[in-house]
Amino acid sequence: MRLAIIEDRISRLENLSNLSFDKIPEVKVISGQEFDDLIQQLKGNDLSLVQSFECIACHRSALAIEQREVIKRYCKEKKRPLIFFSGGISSAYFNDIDFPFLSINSKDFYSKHLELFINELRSGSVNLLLLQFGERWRLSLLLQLRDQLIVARNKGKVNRINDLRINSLMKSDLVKFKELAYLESSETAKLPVDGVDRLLAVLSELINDCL
Amino acid sequence: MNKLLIHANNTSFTDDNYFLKSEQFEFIVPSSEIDIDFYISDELESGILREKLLKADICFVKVFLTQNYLEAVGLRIAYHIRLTSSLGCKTHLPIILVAEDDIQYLGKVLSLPFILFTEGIYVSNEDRLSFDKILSRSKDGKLKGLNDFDSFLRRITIPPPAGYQSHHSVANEWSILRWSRALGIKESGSVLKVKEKIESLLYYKYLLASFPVTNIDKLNLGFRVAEKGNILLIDDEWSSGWSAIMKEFLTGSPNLYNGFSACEFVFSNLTDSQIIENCLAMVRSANPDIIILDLRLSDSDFKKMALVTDFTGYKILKSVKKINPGIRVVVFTASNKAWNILELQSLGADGFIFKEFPDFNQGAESIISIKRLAATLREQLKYRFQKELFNKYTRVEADLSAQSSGDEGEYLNFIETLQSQLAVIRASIALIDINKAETIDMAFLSCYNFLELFRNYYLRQSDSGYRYVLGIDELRLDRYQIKRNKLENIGEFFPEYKNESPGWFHVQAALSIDYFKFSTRPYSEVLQLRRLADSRNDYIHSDKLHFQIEELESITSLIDKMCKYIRE
Repeated sequence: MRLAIIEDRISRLENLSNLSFDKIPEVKVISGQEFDDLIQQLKGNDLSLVQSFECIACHRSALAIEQREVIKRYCKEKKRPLIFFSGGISSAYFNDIDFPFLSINSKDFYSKHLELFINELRSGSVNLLLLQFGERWRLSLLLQLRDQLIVARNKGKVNRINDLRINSLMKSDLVKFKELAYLESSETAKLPVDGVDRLLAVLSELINDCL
Repeated sequence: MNKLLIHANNTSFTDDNYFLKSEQFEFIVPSSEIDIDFYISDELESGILREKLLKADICFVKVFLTQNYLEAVGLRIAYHIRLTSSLGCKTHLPIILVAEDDIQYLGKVLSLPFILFTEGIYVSNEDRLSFDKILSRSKDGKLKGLNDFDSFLRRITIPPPAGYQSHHSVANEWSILRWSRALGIKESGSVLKVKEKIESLLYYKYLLASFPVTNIDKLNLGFRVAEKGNILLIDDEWSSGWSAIMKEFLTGSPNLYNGFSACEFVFSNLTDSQIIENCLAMVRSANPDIIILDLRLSDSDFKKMALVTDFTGYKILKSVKKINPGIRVVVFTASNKAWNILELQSLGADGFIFKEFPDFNQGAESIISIKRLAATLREQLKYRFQKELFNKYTRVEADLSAQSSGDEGEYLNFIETLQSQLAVIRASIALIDINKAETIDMAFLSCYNFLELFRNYYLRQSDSGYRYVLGIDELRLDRYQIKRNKLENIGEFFPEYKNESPGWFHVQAALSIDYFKFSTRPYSEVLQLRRLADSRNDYIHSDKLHFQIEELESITSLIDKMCKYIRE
């Protein structure tokens, strides 16, 4: 199993999603008795019910604050992607500094993006931005990378490959451009003189392609 | 010139050459669980950001403030600044968005781009040249703030949060805030929660700016509905504030429960059938005269293709009318669809109150809705008698059923005839419209006919034919009359005497006293019978225009007693 969806309100899941989760082997919906068992486990800091999953999605208000904290601590420690979804969230929040974390509205979570997300899961990748932006997730990462790069350059802080802080998902795309072949050098290798400009030019091109 | 930079430590402008530390505000969402709108609002209402903004003449905002780039939280802050009225004139200050692309490009890419194309919004790239250009334009007075707020409002659109189930949630929260203000309800508990939400979420700030909740005078309704009847609220949003509002509105106090109750359980934890069961159990125990009923009470009611007949509230309405058709049901809905109304009216909904939604309540004040609710409840309370009548006729039905299990014969035919007439009575009571007096007349005459059936069955002549007798017991028929408000027995009726045919009153009186024996000294039931017989005669002879509700209640009490003691 790859994704655990902790959902106390099955009727809402049925209303918001057209997916038949019982026919998707990668997904397990934890509800009913299993949900009650999980709550009992969380009260004792026990996470054995969700340990086998690569990603956890949880209806935020189904759990008490302390129970949410138990799950968050666990995901932080194991660097496991976590999604909290709730009808009361008006603006999504994404952060992957400590671990990949997405807070998203339930309707957005159960949207058609979930299918894309599950397809990616099958190919071994957990990309939370897919849930929020669907196929536009790449644009979000490109904009982020370009922005980071410009700020770092203006501050004179880009000297070596690892100063570029390129996400591994992006890197595999970027090295396909022959003018960016230097990205395949070691992380501590020095950048070519025009390395940042070349990268910015490619990023602008890719960003334009996304529109 | 005082300037301010809002950033997430991700811009070149954090350098002292651009902004001093005191001119910067670092955007750090304190907890990953808090809604960003709450964080922004708290900062703008009472945080450090407010302090700094109030001193600023120009505000730079980095467009990307979280790792969620396409959300462009910087734009969201710009909207908040424009829509936070407590900032006074600072809501209009020039806002410089810091990004690498031009306005047109950002407009194509980002969520909620409308503000980009409004007055007082500029874009600066992350470099010295762009920065100096902006400052120089500002010093030359060429950088303008927002002048025309109305035009700004017309140019932007803020959609509701994705999880809001159609307009339902918006209408609920919007109405709760407006109604609580109109009623002068102290903003605490659930109402306060809604207020805080509305004052913090960008969507509601936009609605509040477009449709201000101001200048609502406290309503003095001059009466408290719950003093005059039992009212039950069935609304899954009861805990969001409706229960508190209704308590205050109906009883004049947040703590006074007399006359008002609500189905206060967590609807979202229950299946549709559990919701229906729990609500009906509450209907039975609370014995309401009026139910204020929301239609959509469960998640399944929000399915795209759900028909009004699928709504949980509709099913409850249907069952309530089966329990007692006299319980008045006022539908309290966030939907204004006419087809709902027609469908519900056909099922017996007695009134409709719409929760407000800004889109279709433009200009309409909450006062109108609240007054309409007060008037509707006041009107519906006039029908309290109907519920009591139906209660009595349900008892009558049970009493008659208990008699109908005997052998076939004359008595069984009589009971069956009574049962048929009872159906006519029930139908005529259901049709009563207190503004149409003839509908009350119809109901009264149906009751009178019911009692006439007793005369037809029980009044007989003895086998020898020289005297009147009552029922199978052939009990002697005494002649009762009222003189100076006192009952007198003036002896037996004899058929051979002229004008000696016992009428409706005489047979009922003799049955009550001598056959069923429920009327004893001071014979109040017989006095009641006399008044009703006179009233009916006056009506027949056109000396009386219409019957009164009290007369209908009175004849129903007599029917109730007659059927309680009925025997062969």
